[in-house]
Amino acid sequence: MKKLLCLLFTIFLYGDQSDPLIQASAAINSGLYENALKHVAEAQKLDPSNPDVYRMKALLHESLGESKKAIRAWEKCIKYSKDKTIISEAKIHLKNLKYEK
Amino acid sequence: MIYFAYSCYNNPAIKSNYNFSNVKSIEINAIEDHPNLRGSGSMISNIISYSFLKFGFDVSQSKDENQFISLGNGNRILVLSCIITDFTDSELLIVPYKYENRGYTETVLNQSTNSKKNKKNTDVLTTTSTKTHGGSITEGNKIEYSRAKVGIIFTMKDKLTGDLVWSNSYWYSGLELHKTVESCIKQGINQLERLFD
Repeated sequence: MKKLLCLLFTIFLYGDQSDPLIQASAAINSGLYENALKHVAEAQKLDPSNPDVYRMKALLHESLGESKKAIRAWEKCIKYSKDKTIISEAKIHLKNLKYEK
Repeated sequence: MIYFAYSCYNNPAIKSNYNFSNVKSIEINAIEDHPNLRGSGSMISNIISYSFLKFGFDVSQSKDENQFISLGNGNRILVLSCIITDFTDSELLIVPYKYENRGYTETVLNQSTNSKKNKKNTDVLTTTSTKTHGGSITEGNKIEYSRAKVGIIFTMKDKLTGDLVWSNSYWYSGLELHKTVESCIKQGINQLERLFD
């Protein structure tokens, strides 16, 4: 019920926004991770070299227990990011996920 | 004299001459809460026990309710302490985004008729003009979503001598707090396990 109210609120809040990243973040904040991934895929098409999109995608795949897809997304995040903090975060996640395999 | 072996990034500091095969058990000290969240200490403590169990260790509880790990027939006891350096339930991540306006094409069709007196024929003049409006990419303000972040420092001392024998720090991030704590601790237990192989 709480999630539904949250979803309705975010739809109300972002209803007129057509940007897929806005829709993805609204879905994440509502806990709808699979739905968020669909919007992230659209955002990736629009801006294929945005490291933040890949970080969002990787975190979503990890939460859904999809390690292989998360590894691919973190690798892309490293490829496009120039931010040392994000690269360091991605490396820690990669190390952990590769051990899981 | 203590010799610590430092190697590449995120590897633990280990007292090189310590005989880990002579360890009987590891006692886990009570963990203090992080100021950000009450109960974080017991949450971490429970997940440490769970992780040890998952890695195949023998986990027990002493009379004073402290957890300990039984290892072998040695005579040394180690004490594992954990300090929570970061415990963020939800941190806002800000993502700049680009909005693409793909543009459009406008076509105007003009048609005029010219009919002359005493003439049966009528001239029809048609003109077409096409205007293309180029697209543009505009940078959006920000997108916000929350993630959890957990940081810890593990230290292990010999109970009898007080020597620091092993230490390392870890941090992890994720969309859910519980999974993030689990992943963070798992990194430490994974490295610790190798000492007793």
